[in-house]
This record gives sequence, structure tokens and C-alpha cells, in this order.
Amino acid sequence: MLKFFIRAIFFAVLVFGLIAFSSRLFLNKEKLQSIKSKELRSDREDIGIAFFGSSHAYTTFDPRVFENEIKVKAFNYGAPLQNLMVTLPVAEEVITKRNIRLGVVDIFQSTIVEPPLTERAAAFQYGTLDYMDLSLDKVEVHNRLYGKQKLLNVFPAIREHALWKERFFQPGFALNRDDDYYRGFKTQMYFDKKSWEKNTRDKDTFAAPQLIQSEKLSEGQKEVIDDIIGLFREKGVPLVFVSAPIHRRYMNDKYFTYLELIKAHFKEKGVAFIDYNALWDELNLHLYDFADISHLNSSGALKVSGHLANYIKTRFIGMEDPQVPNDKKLKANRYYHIDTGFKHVLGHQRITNNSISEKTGILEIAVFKDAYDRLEIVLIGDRLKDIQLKVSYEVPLHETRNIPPSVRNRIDGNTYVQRASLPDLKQQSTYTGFKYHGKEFKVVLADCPFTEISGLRISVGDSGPATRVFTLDHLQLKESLPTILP
Amino acid sequence: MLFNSLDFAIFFPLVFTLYWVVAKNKTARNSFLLVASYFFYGWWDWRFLFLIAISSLVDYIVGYMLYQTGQARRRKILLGISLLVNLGFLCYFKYTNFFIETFVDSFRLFGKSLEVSTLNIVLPVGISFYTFQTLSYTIDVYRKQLKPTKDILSFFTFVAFFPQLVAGPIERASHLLPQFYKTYRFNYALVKSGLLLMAFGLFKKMVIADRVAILVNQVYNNPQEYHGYETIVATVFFAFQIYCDFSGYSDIAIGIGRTMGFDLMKNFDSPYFSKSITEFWRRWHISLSTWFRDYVYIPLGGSRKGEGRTYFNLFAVFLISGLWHGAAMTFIIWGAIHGLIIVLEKAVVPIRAYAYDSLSVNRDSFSNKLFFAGITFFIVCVSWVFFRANSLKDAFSILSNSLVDNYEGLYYGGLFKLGLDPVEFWVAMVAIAVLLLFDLFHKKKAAIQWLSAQNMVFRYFVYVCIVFVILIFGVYGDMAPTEFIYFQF
Repeated sequence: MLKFFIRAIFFAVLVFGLIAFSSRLFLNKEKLQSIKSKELRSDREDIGIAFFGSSHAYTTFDPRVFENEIKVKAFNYGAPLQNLMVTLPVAEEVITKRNIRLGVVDIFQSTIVEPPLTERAAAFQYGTLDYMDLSLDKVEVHNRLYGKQKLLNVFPAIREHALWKERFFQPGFALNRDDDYYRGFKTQMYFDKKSWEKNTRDKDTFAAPQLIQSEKLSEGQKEVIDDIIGLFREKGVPLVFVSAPIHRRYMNDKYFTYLELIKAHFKEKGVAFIDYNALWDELNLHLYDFADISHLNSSGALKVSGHLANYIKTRFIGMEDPQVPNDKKLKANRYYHIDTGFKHVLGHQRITNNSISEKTGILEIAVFKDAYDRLEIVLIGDRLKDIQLKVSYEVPLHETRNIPPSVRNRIDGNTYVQRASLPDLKQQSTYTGFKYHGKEFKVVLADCPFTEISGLRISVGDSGPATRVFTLDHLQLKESLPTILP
Repeated sequence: MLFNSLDFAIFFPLVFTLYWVVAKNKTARNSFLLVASYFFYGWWDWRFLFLIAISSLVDYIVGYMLYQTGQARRRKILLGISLLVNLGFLCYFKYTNFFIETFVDSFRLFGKSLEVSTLNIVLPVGISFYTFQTLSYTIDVYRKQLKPTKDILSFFTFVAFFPQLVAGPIERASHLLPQFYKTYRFNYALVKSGLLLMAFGLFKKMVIADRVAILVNQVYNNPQEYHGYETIVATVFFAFQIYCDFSGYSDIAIGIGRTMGFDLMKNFDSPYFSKSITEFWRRWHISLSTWFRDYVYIPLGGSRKGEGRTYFNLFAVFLISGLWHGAAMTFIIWGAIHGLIIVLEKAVVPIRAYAYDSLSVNRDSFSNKLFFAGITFFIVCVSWVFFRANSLKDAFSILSNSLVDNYEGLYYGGLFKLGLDPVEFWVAMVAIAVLLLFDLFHKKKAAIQWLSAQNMVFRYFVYVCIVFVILIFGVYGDMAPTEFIYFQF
């Protein structure tokens, strides 16, 4: 009998281990959980700053800025509608396993909602739970959110088993998609006038939000906030609470009231809290810094991240990671390249043709590889105008067999061609421009899932990509960081 | 509690472990099994535990008194009490509304309408099964084929034994009851084979039955919209759905019993390889068909009272069997079809023998077996239409729609527009093929014994594969387990 029970326990452990191990196969490879899980598992090094919170967090706090400004490794653990109740075990795991030196938790009304959560809100918590390792804390919070009947749902392999077809055969290519992440931060968020107008038609007038006197933080809400504070204090890790800005025209009374209540609670507890909604003017936020009424786009994120980085730099001395800067690790960090004058990129060219510079505003072009096997082409100038751009290169045909259709469709013969239109801010269309340390830049991503390419050409113009401004005969992309300065 | 639920996944290991802790002490073990069985049943609705307890108590007392008395009249009265109580419960809970509806409908045939409303009665899960099980005890004692037990604890545990309480196999007291008097020693091989049988049962239920059910439900719930190959495929799939659903449950029940040292009777024996309906009933729901044989067919006279009476008895047994399955005309017609075919098969035995001899046909040839297995499967499928259809009207719609020629739709992927996409459809087909191969293979050599003879690495690999096949290909939406079809009977 003993032999049986020992074997049964061994078998149960084996099965549960395999279920836990195989669970990552069942995550949607195009979604945040899968991408973050992959990033977290491929890099088990310590993290200096960890960000927690909802989509407000992962669209606002850009780790690239913190890496470049503070020289510290950062990761954004934000996930859709992440409730602070779920943040707590994640933060505990991260503090323990990644030795973080600072925690930043985004907070607003929706992240402190008490259970029972709505079905939608409860479902979204998997966005966070899925990148936690299996632990008693995880099981406990899962049980609290979903009940014991759904306990096995803690394993994506069981919860998502019916989607095995989609997930097993889903290509892992991260090319040409909207959901790109850099250490958990969603990098491709833009202002789109059409969608903005569509979603905001009914709100043309601005009225300052009013405090609702009857609203109070419940004991449960205070408890979950205090638990987070207690956790960080217990572990001796500094903590900053923040609230990412939403468009001020759309801040309602309840949202505003809760911010005030939260602010008062933090004051009472002596915890740092930055409400970025109150810093609208200081940050010079603009309509074009938003993707929608409650989420910043990449441009707005750059502004807020810059501000927070500066705050951390001045308040938390000694955050620098001795291993950063490291050329190898920062090769995909555009801010690092901008700050270092593009010394460590695949290619860099100053525009010598004055008429092109006058028409487009471009003074420099730099090319480097991003985190997803793409060429990131950065166009820099003092005041960038309408730009039409064409990127082309010759592909190694023997490597085209396993590339995704989206890339294959752009290949004509043996030449990959991509055109892009980067309109001026004034056109109020899909705006893709940024400002960093006084330089204005725009970015174009060109798929490049190859180990080497030849004949890289970039042409630009205002009404069409008329003039070739960049040429590279050969590029070895598998190498860690070739430096070619033509 | 369902075998395919998380509740049971927690309940069973606990019960199994505690059972073997107390197994050496017969009283403690039976007490524990009784509490566990009542807990298992009460998880669904504790109020109906009283029905089981009353039924058990009545039959225990009746059995005891039957043994004490030799008076024929008194014995008949005692048997009558048992039948009245048990069948009374069954009739009230299962057939009251059916009789009211039939009564009202019969008036409607004559142009009269009656304003009688049906009663709001909840059918206690498994009542048809445990009623028959406990009746078998009283009848066997009445017939003096079984000595009644004095051990009330064993008797109550026999009636409520949780593995087979709600959907069989319907055990005979003479087979199962003595097993509660024994003490068992932990048998590693037996436990392992029981667990494998449970896994195979879960595979049948979760991978095949619940998957093909998606297609079957879509077609059978909208019978007017489907024709030709669509209704035919749905009917064939239902044949496998009900087989996998019910035999899956039986496998799990037998497997659970085996892990605790109990031997529950075999309920299915590759029924779709039968070459006649008579043979089908020797392989399908064996515990029920033998129950009807012993407690209905034989008391009616069996084959001892002439040819005509034999045919009548056979037909009557299948009509009752249909009614046992469900209180609806569709089930009665299903029973009638089987009864009619069995009568016909019996009637043409001499003609068949003459034909075989005249045409020099080898009865054991593969082609002959295949031909008759095909015919039998076809008849079984036609009868399943009545079994599955939501009403008589729907059943006739399905049958008439099946004759419509729409086979060109197959070229345009029509097969995959019935609720299962191509991959799911082919998963179902492969799983059914695996099942049939297993049935075939198992007949020649016990698969579990074969597996036990392999080396440990291979065995563990197979075990893990079985678990993962069930977990990944099983149909269990949002952790809500699907009920077994026979729970409604």
C-alpha cells in the first residue's frame, strides 16, 4: 500500500508539473500574458524597478526611459484591469525572486474594486495571474476571485484546453502586429483622430469634476492598499504609488473623488503618491499624447516616464544597476541610442541634401534592431514634417521558407519593400512622433526576421520616397551588435 | 456528485485513502462507505437520502420477515409491501406526470379537452437503478434463492454503494452483498487496473461522448433544419455518444469498486460488434437486461409457455424496458422496436438456418459477421432516433429527413457546419476509432494486463498520455462537468 501511495504521489506531482510546464503553450502568443511570460522566463536576472497596475501602467511606464535615465533594469508587470488584490501576490513574488529595489504601483478607482468582481473584471485577472509561478499565494488569490469550483483554471493548460488548435498552431512571430511590448510596456500606442472622434463625440465641453461627498474608501479597499504598503515595508523595498493620467476632459466625478480619497489615505499612511492627472500642465500633456480617453500613447508615456524617472533619480539615490549601461542589453533601446549619438547602431547617416531636410525636417537617420527581429528606423530632426519613406533590402532566399505571411507578402523577387507614411502633427491623423531630450523623432519598423541581409536602402520625401538617403551593402543581424558607421 | 467533476476529483482520493486506512475492520469500513455514499448522493440533494434510507429499511425488514415466515400468503403480502414501496416511489417520482399527460392526450383524441396541470416533481437521481437493485434482493429472498442478511450496515451500504448508486451497474444482492461481509487486503495490481479503467471511462465520457454531443444536440434540437447526411451523421454520432457516456460511467464505477476491492458486474461488452439485436442485448446494459430476464421475463413464463407467449413476453419486457428508460412515448417506441426485432429474429431462426444450409454460407466468415453487424448497427441507430429525439414528431422528422438526398453538401464542407469544426470532427472520429480498436483488441487480450507487462518508463509514459489526452481533448467548458445521460433515467 505504501508503495502505491508513494507512486501515486510521484505520479500526481509529475502530472501537475507537466500541466504547469505546458501551460505556457496554451497562452495566446499574441497577447500580453504569453509575451510577458516569455520575457520573464528568458531573463531571470534581477530587476531594479517593477511597475504594477492595470493597462494604465503598461501603457504609461516605459522601461526604456528608466534604463536610459537611471541606468536601472525595469519591468512593467501591468496587465488589463489588474486589481490590487492580485497585484499583492505578484509583487511579493517579484520582490522575492527578482530582488527589486523600487516598486511603482499604479492606482485608481477600478484597481481597488472589492470582490465579487464582475465576470469581465474577474476574467481579466488572468492577465496577471498567468505570469506568476505556481504558488500557494497564487492558488489562494485565485480561489478568492473565482471560487473552488474553478480552482483548476489556475492552469492555462486546463482553462484554455479547448483552444488547443489555435494555440498549438499559432505562429510565434512577433512581427507586424499592434501588440508589441518592451519589458511589459506596450510600445505601439498612437493617437488616431478618427477613432478619437468616434469614441468622444458626446463630450465637447469640459466641466471640472466635483467631489462626491458621500463616497468613502471602504475598509476592504483600505485593507488591500495597506496590505501592499505593508508588504513593501516588510521587505524593505521603497514603494511609490502613482496614478497615470486620463484625458482631463473625461475625468468624471467618481474617478476624481476616488483619486482624492486615495491621496488622503496615502497622506495618512505617509506613502509617496504622484497623481499625474494633477500634473497635466507641468507635463505639457496634449490630446496627441493619448491613445484613448484613459490611456496614454507612446508619446504621452515618454513624457510621464521621463518625469517619473527624474523623480526617482532625485529621491532614490543609488538605484543604478552596475550592469547597466551595457551595449548588448540596451541594443533595442532607442532612447539610449539617441542619447549616445547613435554610436552603437547598425547604421547612422546625416542628411546632407538640404532640400530633403527642408522638405521633411529630417537631419539624421539611424537603424538598429528592436526586440522583435525588426529594424527600427529612427528619423530625427528639430521639427519633423510630413514624411514618406521607403525601406528595401535583399533577402536571403534560403531563409524565406519559415517567415510569416505578413513578411512574405512584402517580398517581390528577392527584395523586401516597405513603405510608410509619417504625417505631421498638424494633420491630426495617426501621429507617430516623439520628443526626447529636445530632439524630435519618428520611428518606422521594418520586419527583418533574417540572419543577414544585403542592399539596405532607405528613401524619403515629403510627397513620396524620392531620394535615397541611406545605404548599407551588407548586414549581419545575428551578431550581437555590429557597429557600422558609413 | 459527478464522476467528471472537480468535487469528485477531491472526494475520491480522500475516500480511497481513508477506506484503506479502515479496511481491516469490516464494521468501520462499511460504516465509512455508507457515510461516504450518503455524502456522495447528498451532494446533489440531501433530502432524497431519506428515499434511499426508507427503501433500504423496508427491504431489509421485508427480507428478514420473509425468511422468518413460511406462509405463502404472508410472504406474498411482504413481497407486495416491498414492491409497493419501491415501485410506488419510482412511479410517483418518474411516471406521475407522464400518466397525467397521457390521460389528457387520450381525451384529446376524442375531441375532449381536460384542464389538468402536471405536478412539479423532481426526479431523484438514480432512483430507477437503486430501486431495481433493492428489489432484486427482496425477490431473491422471496424465491428463497438468497438468504437475507442480518447485517443491516452491510445491507444499507449495498443499496447506497456510491460507485454504482446513480447509474448502475444494477447489482444483484447475491453478487454484491456478500462482498460487504469480506475484508480486503490492498492489491496493487487491482487498484492500478481500477484506476486505468476509470481513466478509460473518463476518456469515453469527456473526449468522445461530450464532443459528439455538440453535433448531436445541434441537429436533434433543430430537426427541421437538417437533412440527409446531416441527420444520419448525427444519429451515428449519438450511437457513440450514448455508448461512451453510459459505458464510460460503468467503467468508472467498476474501476472505483475495483480500487476498493469490490467486483462490480460487467455492463457492456463491445455492443456495436453484435450480429443481431438479441446479441446486442447480451452486450448492452447487461445488468439491466439480465435483471429484466430474471425478474420480468421468467416470471411472465419466459419461453416455457409456447411460442406465442414467448414472443409476447419478449415484446412486453422490451416495452417495460423502454418505459424504465424514460416516461415518454419515444422511449416506449424505442423499446417496442427492439422487442419487435427480437421477436422477428426468434421467429426466423429456422428460416435463417435453412437459408445458411441451402446457400452453404459459413456463419463464422468475416463477411457474414460484417454484414449482420452492419444490419444490427443500422437497426440500433434507427431505434436511437426515438431514444434521442425530443418528441415523437421530431423523431419522425429526423427519420424522414434522413431520406433526403443532399450529399452534394459534403463536397462543400457541410459536415463541418454541424457544430464541430474540421479539427474537432476528426478528433471525434479518431477517438471513436481508438475506442473501437480498443474494444476489438481488448476482446483478444486484456489491454490492462498487456500494459502491466511493459517496462515502467513506458507505462508511466502511457499513463501521462492518457491523463493529458483527457485534459486537452476532453470537453469540459469552464470546469462545469456535463451530466451523464443515464442520470435522467
